[in-house]
Amino acid sequence: MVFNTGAALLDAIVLAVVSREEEGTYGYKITQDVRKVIDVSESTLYPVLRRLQKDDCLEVYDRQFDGRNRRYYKVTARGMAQLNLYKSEWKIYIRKINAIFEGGVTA
Amino acid sequence: MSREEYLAELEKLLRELPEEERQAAVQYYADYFEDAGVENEAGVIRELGSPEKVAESIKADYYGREFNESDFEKKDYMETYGRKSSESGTDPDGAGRAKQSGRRAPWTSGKLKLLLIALIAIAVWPVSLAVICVVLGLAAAAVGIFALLVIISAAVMIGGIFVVTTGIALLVIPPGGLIVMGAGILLFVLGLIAAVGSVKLCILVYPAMLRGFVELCRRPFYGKAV
Repeated sequence: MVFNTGAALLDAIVLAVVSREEEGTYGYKITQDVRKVIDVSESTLYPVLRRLQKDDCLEVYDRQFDGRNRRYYKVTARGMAQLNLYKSEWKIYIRKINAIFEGGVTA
Repeated sequence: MSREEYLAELEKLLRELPEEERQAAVQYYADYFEDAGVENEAGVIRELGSPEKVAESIKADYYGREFNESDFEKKDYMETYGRKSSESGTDPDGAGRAKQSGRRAPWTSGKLKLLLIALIAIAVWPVSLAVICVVLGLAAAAVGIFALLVIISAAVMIGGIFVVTTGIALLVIPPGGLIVMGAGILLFVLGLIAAVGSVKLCILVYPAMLRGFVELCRRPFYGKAV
């Protein structure tokens, strides 16, 4: 991607990726899913997950997998609200950008 | 570097963080390696980058400071694209080298710049000497001017005192003596005001000049101060 992904957009993408899994999902999978859409290095995600967890947007729990504990992340109610805020902000944003790019023809 | 070594190194680099914070991070990356699978161990290490970089990204977030990935690997736009297209096949050595040289690049260019400045300064020594002399001279002149203001004010004050004493001596002719005394007191007060003003001005101007001078000197070495 040519465009930079700012902190807020990265938060939004991570929340969206995690929210797709009812039962929650784990670090490696989150990283792979995020990397399908944007070009971030693998080490970018941990601090983001940690921060979202501290902000009560994500909660973690450990679950047995393959004879070991694996840490799962789940979106909290607060995280869901935050994600919805991001989504509506994003709609406004792309509408404006599209208006400039395509002279008023919005998606 | 194996996964165990990588995680041990990471834990060591995070020792300044609280236990809980450090454990969470190490656990996350241990999980990460497990989930990536043993066969991808080398790939994960390459993608994550050095333990130093990962540790810094965690610490930066913990302390709420900016983390600049480009400090660790030169990842500007063109290079990312160049590497991405050539790296679609796995080329562990090439990528590793690129990362290493990327890390070293800023350091070298900084040293190089310094050396270059030094060389230029020596090459045009007569000119640079003159410039240094002019700058120092101007600074001295500025310091002198403000000091002079203080001295003049003090002189006016002292002059006022003399006039007052002369006035007292002249009191044998009361009207003349009183006029001279009054003029002396006026002079003294004016001098006092000027002295206080100029001293305040010095307090204001000297540190500012010093800061400006220091800034001027460090500019070539560190770039603009933050």
